[in-house]
Amino acid sequence: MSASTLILLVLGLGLAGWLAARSRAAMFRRANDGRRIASLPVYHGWYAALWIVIPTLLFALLWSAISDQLVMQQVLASPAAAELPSFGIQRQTWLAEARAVATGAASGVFNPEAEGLVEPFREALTRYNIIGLVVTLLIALAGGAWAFLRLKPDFRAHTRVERTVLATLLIASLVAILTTLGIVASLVFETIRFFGMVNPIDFLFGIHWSPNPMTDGSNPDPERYGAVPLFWGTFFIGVVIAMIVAIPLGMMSAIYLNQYAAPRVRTWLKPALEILAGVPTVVYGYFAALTIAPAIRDIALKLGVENPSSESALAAGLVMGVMIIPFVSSMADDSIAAVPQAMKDGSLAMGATQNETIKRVLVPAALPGIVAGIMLAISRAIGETMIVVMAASATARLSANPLEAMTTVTYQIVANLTGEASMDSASTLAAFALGFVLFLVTLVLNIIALRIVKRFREAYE
Amino acid sequence: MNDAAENVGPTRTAAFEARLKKRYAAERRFKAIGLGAILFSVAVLIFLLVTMAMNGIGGFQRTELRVPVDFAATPVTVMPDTSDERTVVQSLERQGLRDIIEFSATQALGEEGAAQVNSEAWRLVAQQIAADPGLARGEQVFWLPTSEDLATAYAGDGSTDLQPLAQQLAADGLLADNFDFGFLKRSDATDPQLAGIWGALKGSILTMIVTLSLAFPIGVLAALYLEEYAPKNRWTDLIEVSINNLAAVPSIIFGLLGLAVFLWIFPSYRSAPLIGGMTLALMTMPVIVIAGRNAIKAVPPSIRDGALAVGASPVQVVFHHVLPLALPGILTGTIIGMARALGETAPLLLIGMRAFVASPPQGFTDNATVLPMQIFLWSDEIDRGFVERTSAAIIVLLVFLLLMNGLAIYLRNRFEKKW
Amino acid sequence: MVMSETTDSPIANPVNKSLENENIAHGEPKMRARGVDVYYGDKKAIDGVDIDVYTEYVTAFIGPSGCGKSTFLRALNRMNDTIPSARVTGTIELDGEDIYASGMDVVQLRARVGMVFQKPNPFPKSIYDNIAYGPKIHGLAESKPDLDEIVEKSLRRAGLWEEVKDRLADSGTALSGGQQQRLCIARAIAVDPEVILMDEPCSALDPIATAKIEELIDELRGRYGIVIVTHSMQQAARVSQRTAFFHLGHLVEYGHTSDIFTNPAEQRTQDYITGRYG
Ligand SMILES: Nc1ncnc2c1ncn2[C@@H]1O[C@H](COP(=O)(O)OP(=O)(O)OP(=O)(O)O)[C@@H](O)[C@H]1O
Ligand SMILES: [Mg+2]
Repeated sequence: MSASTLILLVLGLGLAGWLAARSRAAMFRRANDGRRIASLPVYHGWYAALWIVIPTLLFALLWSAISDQLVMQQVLASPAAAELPSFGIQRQTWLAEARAVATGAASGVFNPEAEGLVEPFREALTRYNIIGLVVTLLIALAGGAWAFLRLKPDFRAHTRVERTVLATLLIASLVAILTTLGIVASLVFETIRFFGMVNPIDFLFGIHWSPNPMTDGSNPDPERYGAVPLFWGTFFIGVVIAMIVAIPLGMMSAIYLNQYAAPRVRTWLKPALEILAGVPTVVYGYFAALTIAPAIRDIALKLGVENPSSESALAAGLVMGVMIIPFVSSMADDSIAAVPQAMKDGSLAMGATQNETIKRVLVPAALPGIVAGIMLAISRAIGETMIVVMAASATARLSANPLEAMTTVTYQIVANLTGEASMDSASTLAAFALGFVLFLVTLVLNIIALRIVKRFREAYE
Repeated sequence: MNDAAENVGPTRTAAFEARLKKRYAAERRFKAIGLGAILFSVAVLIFLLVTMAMNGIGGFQRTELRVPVDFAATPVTVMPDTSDERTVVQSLERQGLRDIIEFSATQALGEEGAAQVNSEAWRLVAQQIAADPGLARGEQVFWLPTSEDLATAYAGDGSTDLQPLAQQLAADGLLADNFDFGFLKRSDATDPQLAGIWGALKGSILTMIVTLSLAFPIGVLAALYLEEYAPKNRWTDLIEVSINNLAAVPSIIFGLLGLAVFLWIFPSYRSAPLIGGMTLALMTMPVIVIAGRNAIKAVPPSIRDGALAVGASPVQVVFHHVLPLALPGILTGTIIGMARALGETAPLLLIGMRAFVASPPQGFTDNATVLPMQIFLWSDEIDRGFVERTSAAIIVLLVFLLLMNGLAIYLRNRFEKKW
Repeated sequence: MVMSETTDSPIANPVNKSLENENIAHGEPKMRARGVDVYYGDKKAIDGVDIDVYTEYVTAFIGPSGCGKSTFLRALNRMNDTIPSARVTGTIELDGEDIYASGMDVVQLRARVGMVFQKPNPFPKSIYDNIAYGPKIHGLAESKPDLDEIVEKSLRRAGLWEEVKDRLADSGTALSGGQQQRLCIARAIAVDPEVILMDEPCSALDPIATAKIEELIDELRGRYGIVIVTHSMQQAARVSQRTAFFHLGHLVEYGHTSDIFTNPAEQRTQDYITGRYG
């Protein structure tokens, strides 16, 4: 019983309820000699359908969340599970294989040890599928019956339906808050665990980073978790190098597009920038690693630099800068376009040339918006992952030489979460702590930037 | 100001005019810098696309050897009623197809050449026969993939000892780069000669379906709530700040969320499109909300007033009048958000969608990978073959993204505020 | 630029007869427009306008909304160049030079013919920098003391000095509406233009601020040629010596303000100033 068939079933039941209730309401109307009933029949239909669909969907969601655990529990309780190793990657693989065979996703197990688990899995899955299905049907019936009993000629179905609709809308918008809370909760939880192993001071101010994924959580080496080199690398690549590229180029592009380009040129160049913004970061990363990094290394060699890195901060930073150009440019474009024409006219009417007007009036007037845009661009650059994962290095180094290899926060998050380490090792938890720092920094940048933008818009509205 | 200035005005002096020349020079310079800046971006874009295209052309091709097989001499039988490819391939394997191919290859290419036929080549022949049993009769010519070593040698790098052989075979018309349509139909493999992107593409499609079916309704409903019904209070502010902030939070953070929450709830769905789609949905939802709000805002109040005046309820006004008018704008935003989700890699990396997936996923809960992830995984391989395959996969991804963005731009231009 | 008439043709419009005598009395006008048409795309917004502007007199443009006053005013310092669809034909001369001739420099022209807009539009800079803007870009001040002097003089002439001398570093946008408008006038004066064009400079102001601006205009008369667009008959009557009445893109009547208001030659003018339409 897959989730999609369950959903289809629920929707089918809802449709049945809708049709039944609507025709019943139409009957009221006929019985009333065609006089108006309190709500249109279709609202009665919706009323019944909602009473069927919402409770069952809620149950289905809950069920899909817990049935997995329930199945697992039953399997682990079976005698065959006693053979399993008590933890580690092997245990996971065997369980996953047996499960795959039991659900029919795979035809046979790869590890013979998993064979014995297939049957218990099959049993447990069947059992909980049946339970789930029966309960779903019961809930649907109960909901439908409840709704049906309340249908009367003077029943104001539409107010009920509308209230439900409003509640749904509210809930949908609460998803955003739930997501934020989810992020904060998961990051804080794991970070606190990490700080139980490594002193926050050591983490935030230590300058030596070399986590060891093989040590278990009980005996981490706090000396290895000094994140300063990561913060520095992130700052150097994402803020210094990338912004040196992105701010001037982005600003000048925006100014040209907004103030100089003929409308026809603009309709061609603007989409080109949008395409640049739409290129996935993995492509930029590949481009950086395949083309830019070797080129930089070759140029450095020609210039007589000894041992330039093929994973230089410069390559990652330059490509990141290019990626950010359209971002800066579109924010600057919007901000400059928001400056009232009267301001520009005022300057031109004084005999200022176009560039004097731009430099001395438009850009200063648009400055809050531009600054906010740059803050958002920085927030995006320091959170950028694929470019650095593919083009930067794993080596944590405190250096101001752009030709040297450096690592970043996002690089280390990925490195420490995709390796062999278990979920409770210090290096895994360190990734969450890094994520938390990243989240806080970008949060502050975003909130300040959004404030500025809002105030800026109000000023010129 | 002196007396002379009083007479002719300070703006008609020679100094003014000299200065004017400089100001115009500055103007020209400034304009040129602006044009240069934007041309630079365009040039980088073109350079990137050309680099990918040049590499990618090789990725859509495969180095193949010409091997005639005489099934008259060594007959194999195919049960006419077995429609299942797998059974046919197994039966052909039992009938010694592998040896038949090896023998034919030795005949056609010599010992040395036959050694360079891809070890999985017989399977491809078997699959072709399964699709068309008629092939297993008489003499047939097959173009079979070479080993990666020979392909590398043919391309002119790699081990030098195979290069003479490659040149010889090519001169005899037995070795060539052929267009590899199968690249779009196969899945990941350890051998670049056999690798394809269909598995990843299908994973992307499944993931996007999940993302769209979660993010679109939630996003649109939230946008409607915030624009049409939300009271002005702290809660609304909080929702607004959350949404705006989520739209700017680095994508990798969503990966951490997915790892800590979704994989904790659904531990057995690691690297399933379901989890990937849910994670990306959280990321896409704010984009849709923001686009949706702007589209709804653009619907003039007069339309609402008109509908209210004829007795429609607030909910009817919104669903019958406002939403249909705002829909093009919402769709544009949705497509842009989906395009971003389609190109996203980092969060999926964290929730484990980096598995080696040799057969396409059959459902939302199967192990899967996605197109950008496939690119990332291949980019780590050092074989020349994978470098080309990576670029080819990038081209496929970019084509999809271009189509989506093009559709969004078209929608935007077509339906841009007509009232 | 298409010239519809040669520069020195006599004024053809009979209602402008009285002006020919003025020419004799005062020599050449500061600005002279002949046969000016302004188009927005295909639409003609100004049709064959002839007007003279003198430094000695304030000239008022009146007429119903949309008749083209602003359009014509903007033609006088080529601000219409900033509107892509706008096109001007005919001749407009400043001191006998055609301002639409290819040799004419727009930047210099606008420095000579300043403009004040309907809505005060101070730059988002300090009061000082607002005034110093023009002198700085045009290089009119050699040193800081020079610049200080220009700023003070301009503010004094605009009657704003006493009010702002202690807060020159405050933002120009922090002033009241009337002060902002005087700031804009001071800003225009700071480059010592020859003509100042004012497009409804008082429409966003209260009566007291309006009175101050009117006073200011009167003081500036004689030093600068002043053209003011206004919707207020009273204002036109109070501040101007010459009045031009526009209607649907045509110049209906142009003459002494007192004549226009007491004894208009045209019925349409009569109707407008007595409030029968507009
Ligand atoms: N940028 C423009 N593009 C096209 N048409 C314009 C433009 N500006 C003005 N017009 C048109 O030209 C005509 C004259 O407009 P103008 O602004 O000069 O009138 P006005 O006399 O200043 O009116 P008001 O007293 O309301 O300021 C109007 O019909 C107007 O619609
Ligand atoms: Mg006007």
